[in-house]
Amino acid sequence: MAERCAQSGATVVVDRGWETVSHYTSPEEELEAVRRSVGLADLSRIPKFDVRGGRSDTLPEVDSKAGIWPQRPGETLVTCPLESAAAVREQLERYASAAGEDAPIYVSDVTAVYTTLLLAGPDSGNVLGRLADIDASDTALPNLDCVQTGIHHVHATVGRQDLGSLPAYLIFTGREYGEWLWDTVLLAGVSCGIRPFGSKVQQILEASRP
Amino acid sequence: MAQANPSEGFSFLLNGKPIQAEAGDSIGAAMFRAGVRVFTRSFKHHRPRGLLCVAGNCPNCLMNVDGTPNVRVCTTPARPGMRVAPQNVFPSLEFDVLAASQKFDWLMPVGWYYKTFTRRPVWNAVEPFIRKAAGLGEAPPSIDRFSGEGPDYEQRHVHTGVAVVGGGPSGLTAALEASRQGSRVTLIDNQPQLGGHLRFTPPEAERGRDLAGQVEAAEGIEVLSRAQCFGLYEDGLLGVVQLPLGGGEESVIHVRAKRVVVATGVIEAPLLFENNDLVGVMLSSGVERLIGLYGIVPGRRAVIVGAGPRAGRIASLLKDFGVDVAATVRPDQVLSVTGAAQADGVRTAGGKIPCDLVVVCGHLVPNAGLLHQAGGTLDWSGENGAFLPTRLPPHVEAAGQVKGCGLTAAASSPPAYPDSKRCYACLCEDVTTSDLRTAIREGFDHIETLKRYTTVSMGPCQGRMCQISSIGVCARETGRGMGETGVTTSRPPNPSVSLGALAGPRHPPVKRSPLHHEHEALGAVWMNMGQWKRPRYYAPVPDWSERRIVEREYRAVRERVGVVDVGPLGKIEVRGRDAGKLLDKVYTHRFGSLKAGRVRYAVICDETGTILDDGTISRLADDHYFLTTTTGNLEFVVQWLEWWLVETGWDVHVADVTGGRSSINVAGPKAREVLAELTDIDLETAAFKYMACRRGEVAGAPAVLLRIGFVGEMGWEVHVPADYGVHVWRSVLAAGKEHGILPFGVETQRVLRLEKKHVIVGVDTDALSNPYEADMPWVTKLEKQDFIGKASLETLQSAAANERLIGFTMLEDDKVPEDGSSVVLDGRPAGRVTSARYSFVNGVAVGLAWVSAELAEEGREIDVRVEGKPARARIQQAAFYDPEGRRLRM
Repeated sequence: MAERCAQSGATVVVDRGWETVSHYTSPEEELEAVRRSVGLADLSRIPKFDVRGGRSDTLPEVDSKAGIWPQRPGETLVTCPLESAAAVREQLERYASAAGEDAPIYVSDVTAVYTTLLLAGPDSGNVLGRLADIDASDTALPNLDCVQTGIHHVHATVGRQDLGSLPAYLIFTGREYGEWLWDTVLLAGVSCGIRPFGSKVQQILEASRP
Repeated sequence: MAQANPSEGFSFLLNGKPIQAEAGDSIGAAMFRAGVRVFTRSFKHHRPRGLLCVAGNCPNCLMNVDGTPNVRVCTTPARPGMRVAPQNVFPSLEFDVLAASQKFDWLMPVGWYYKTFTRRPVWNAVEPFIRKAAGLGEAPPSIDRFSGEGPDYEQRHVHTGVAVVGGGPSGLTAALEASRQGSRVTLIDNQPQLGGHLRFTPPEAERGRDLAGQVEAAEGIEVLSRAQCFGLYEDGLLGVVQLPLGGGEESVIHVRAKRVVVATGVIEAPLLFENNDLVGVMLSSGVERLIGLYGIVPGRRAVIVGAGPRAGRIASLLKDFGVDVAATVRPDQVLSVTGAAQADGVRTAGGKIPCDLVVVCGHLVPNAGLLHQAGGTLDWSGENGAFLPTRLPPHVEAAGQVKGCGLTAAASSPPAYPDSKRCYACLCEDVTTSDLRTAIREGFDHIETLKRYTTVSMGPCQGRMCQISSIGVCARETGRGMGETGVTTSRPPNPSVSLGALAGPRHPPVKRSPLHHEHEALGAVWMNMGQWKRPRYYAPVPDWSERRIVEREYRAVRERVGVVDVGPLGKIEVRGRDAGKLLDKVYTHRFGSLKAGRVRYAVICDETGTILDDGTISRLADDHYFLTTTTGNLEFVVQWLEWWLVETGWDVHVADVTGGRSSINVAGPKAREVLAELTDIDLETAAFKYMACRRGEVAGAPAVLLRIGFVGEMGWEVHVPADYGVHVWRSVLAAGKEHGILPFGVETQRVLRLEKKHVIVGVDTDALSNPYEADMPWVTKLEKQDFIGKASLETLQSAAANERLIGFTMLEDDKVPEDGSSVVLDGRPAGRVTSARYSFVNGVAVGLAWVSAELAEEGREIDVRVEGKPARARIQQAAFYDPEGRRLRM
């Protein structure tokens, strides 16, 4: 994705080994767009762990900024910020080791398996509604909750992870759909004035998370 | 042509001629104001038709607007520069030669098709002419079904607490009340402004504006204007089609509501009398709309057909606007409307009353189709003179006139009507009362069979205009009551929706390998494999032929080293204590006993022994297997594994990791030397045998290496996390540069594998192929404990085969059969080619084919059709290249 963004003129930097878009136009413009309407960022680099087996749907408390996204009984997707990847992995593996042999737990790094896009801003729910049959309201999809859905029949998990007062959603699909999903979300957001944003704005927004 | 500011008036084109419009005009209103009276020609008799309902219900104003057929111009807002044209006329709207069909309508009685075209050749002969003459409009020529060019349609989903259908007073009141109770409300209204009939009934207009203002100001109410609900499905799902106010394509909105309130009011339907379809005959609500919404007075001298307060109200309105109301007559007094195309009078027993406008106070029919669709029942109410909703599904309610509020019965139900060939019960399909009577006499006396035989209520109005009349005729002719006659079934979509809108945005999913942009940079010529984009080959020079390019890539693999992106292969990790048990159950070979570090070819069969998929299974650890599947069957294999896992209680976890791995196959005599530069893993055969797997690093990336050989050369499949894919690919190409490495595409891969007689499941096998007939009996281990398909395979093993998959070599060097070509014996088809390619090493084409078992003899000569002519080929069961497999084990 980074390569494609670079082709479109985005500024790409290397952050902890990952090629990452710093910004597309200017961070100020992008931040304004996200706060006013809706923005889209590629967060595929965030660490993701697949935890299966035992009672992995009732995970212990890991990093405070980790996302716990239950997929189905005995299957959970865990995300965390890049800086806490090692610690979260260690916690999960410790948890798996402690599981009894009668109900073993398996932890896999699935960072590369999923494309992860961040859709953030006041109009992000509207854009989601143009992509999938999702009730993105506060009552149906509260913060830190997730749903599984189909975007043009492609399986996706949508997790809500607000950035302070801004509603925000993580969209996970198979990595092979990454570029298609990026285009599809941007197309769906045209009428809302969607703008792509880079890691600089994402860091500013991330800081507003409790 | 078009003026800049539509609020100051503007123009559009009707048949190339400018029509002046005022702000807020519909196309139809502007045309009417400009003096246009004939808007369409009728479906069958090509009779001129003019504005009737002005509400978008009837078929009288269907025109082509900017290339889109069947647009109801009476409700479509006019926009500057739009191009409007009539449809289904020849040569013109004013003079349509097909109107002569009225003179010959005795040749086309009701049920004409069924009575006349009883023999296929007759129908085949006339069908092209009928299709040309009949139908409604033509598909927009801008849609190119091959290139995909054309309008794009949007879809979206709305979740709400209460969905209110209808923007009239009842709908507005319901929306406000639901909002006050704290519900999220979505109000669906088919008009550009809220208010319903209050908008064009002056004494109540203020009330309408007040209610609309409250709704628009309410925070919890979302209003979907110019949106029609075309279906009410289970679980509160409403299909809504919305037309943008500023023009453009319609969009479909899926509304999911916890409660649905249907407040769709009533529809005014025409009355039955002779020439009730003439231009100048209008429904009273149509007249009210023209005056109230557009300030257009539709005539100078009017006769009102009706009685009671409604007739009085319309007479008063017309007089207020300077119309001479010549008479008000009861419907049963009307003998006919007179005039050729345009009404010029009403004939009664007392004589002809001259006029240029006939205002019909028609039946008020509850617009209850949605309630009926949703599973509600409609029962006849003699008191209200209408079919009213009685039992509704949970969470669905009716409000206002749709449930009969304010409706009173007409003087006689069912009403009287003339038996005339010019008394139209169905304006859409030109079905007359005479047609209905004939059909009933022929035995189609049930309302549903009457509908199917005569096509009454099957046109664009979907019964809105004609259902009540046809029920009335059926009831009177059969002597049954209206209630006993009943209504026909309501089905979505009603109103109609364009197929494009239902299909939604043209943005089909595309899968791309992590190496996609690398291939692009190398000049890949793409091919679609399912949703995947894969390089067919890489074109180094634009004008090279495909064979030359493929040969270049082929030579690299056979003589030096090549690399292919196999990322689209399905990749699955199966983990857990009981993983081997599951694989033993699902696959035909043994995997529980496979040693860690080994790879085995694997086939899945179904319960009948039919081959479903193949791939490789590598045991990475005691409780960890790595599976590959065919590209197209990945999702199926994952589901199949999970299905057979259900209720076993086994400790097994199946994970699709396809997208997370970048996978390449480095193959050729120099493959070891290339990879050795990038990894510390000992690649020598003594340490890394054919059909073995290792974990390690390649170019610094964590990797799984499988030594397998689909293309028939020593080679390794290298699987790394997708994010390292580009780095590893570039590293391999760099390391291979001195060895003359080339990337190769799918087409080259297919030649290479075919020379080895390696089967592609789904290409060389079909829904009937089993391992014995497909010449791979070694994949089944019948001595193993039970597995899926075992019982059938045991039978098949000893049964005589019907067909065999054989290899063949063409005997003439320039003949290359296409995939799918026939195998011929004595001039008769005796089999089919599944794959055939020119083999560069053999100098002739080689291929695989299914032939009848008795033909499948080594060395036998067969004929294969090439470019329509038989060409000689010889059956060869051994691989066409390195049959002993020495090159794989080097």
